[in-house]
Amino acid sequence: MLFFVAVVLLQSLLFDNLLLTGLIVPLYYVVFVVLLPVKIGRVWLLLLGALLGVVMDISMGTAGVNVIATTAVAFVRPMIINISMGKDITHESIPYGGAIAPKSFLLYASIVVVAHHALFFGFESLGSHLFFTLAKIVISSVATVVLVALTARLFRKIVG
Amino acid sequence: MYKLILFIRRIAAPLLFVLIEVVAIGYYSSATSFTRARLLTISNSVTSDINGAFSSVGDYFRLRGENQMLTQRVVELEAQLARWVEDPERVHLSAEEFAPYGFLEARVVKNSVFGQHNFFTINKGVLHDVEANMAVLTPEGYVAGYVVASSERFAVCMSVANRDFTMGGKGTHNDYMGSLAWDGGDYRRVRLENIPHYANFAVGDTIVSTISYRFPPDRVIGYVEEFRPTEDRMNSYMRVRLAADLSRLDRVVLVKFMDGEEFEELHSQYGK
Repeated sequence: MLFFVAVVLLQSLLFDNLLLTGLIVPLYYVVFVVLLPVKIGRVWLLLLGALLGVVMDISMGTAGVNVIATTAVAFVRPMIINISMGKDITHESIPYGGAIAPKSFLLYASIVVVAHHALFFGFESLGSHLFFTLAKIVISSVATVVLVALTARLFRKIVG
Repeated sequence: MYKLILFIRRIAAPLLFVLIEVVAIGYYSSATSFTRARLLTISNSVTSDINGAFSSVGDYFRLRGENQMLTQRVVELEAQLARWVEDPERVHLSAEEFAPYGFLEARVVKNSVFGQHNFFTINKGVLHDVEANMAVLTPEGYVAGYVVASSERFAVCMSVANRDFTMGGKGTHNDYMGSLAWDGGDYRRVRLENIPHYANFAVGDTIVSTISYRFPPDRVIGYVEEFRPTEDRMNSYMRVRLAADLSRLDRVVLVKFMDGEEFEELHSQYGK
């Protein structure tokens, strides 16, 4: 709950105001979906993802794009976890836990973030400025993955 | 019965997923700029005070540049005023009842330029008589946008860099008009379309606003960067570099056209 609020505030107060260049627009808030416990029920995951999307849509004035992107990655998250972490995850309850190789976590986080950013910027531009949008997806995703990895490290230190 | 419950449990997640996505896509496809502005008005009631606090920190670092700009502006206005004073007859004619525009200053507390539908939020609202369709200019007098929706203490304005933004623009030296719109790419450039093919413009010419119920006339929009006829040779196309730096809006001037409603009413009845 606290994490949810913190993520929303960070996104709307900090990252939405970082006017670096048109290409770096980190949608950091997706870190919430990335770091949720592994064993969370799929229905709960979807509902939390949709709720996060609604809050971000109101905050950014994007009228639905955040819900579309966030709910979609919440839906495919269990499959991404299976692909990227495989067996390791059976011993862990959190995606950033000690039994998981940093490489696997990075792969998992990257897939979630890229999928999310691609959906978000794709739906936002609706196919116009194709090259610009693609560059924006790639560069913003890199920025978000770095931020997500840092957050995961921080959590790992705190949790133990 | 048990099997049915199992079945429902199995399809609950995909079903919910499809449902949420359908609702979201439906909402998104029917959304207009007004919907987006209303969403921002809601979130402003929570975040604007905090954003305002952040932007006041930035104030100290901008003082020098702002002072310079203000002095320059004073010089310009003094020069204009001097022309009026020299001609007492004209001063007399422009009595107070003939002031068609009201002015108001405000601060930008939240801004965006990197989306497709960009808005910015200012710290004046209904309490300060801010209403929809007031023009927003930079202190230099450059066009920045117009007010779309206002809450008690804040108002959401559509930036020129918004795909739903349109206004009229014309050249300063030849008065040929066109319609101005943003294509969703670079926030520093807009296009001016439907200019008659015989109108002549050169790179560097100044483009100013035409009068409308939102904008006062002759406010600088930007400068011609590229000018060429369209493929069918019926019209000309122009790319305009905006005079206002939309990514660094801070202090703005709101302009209200006192007879705006009458103007718009007449225009919508007979103008088309």
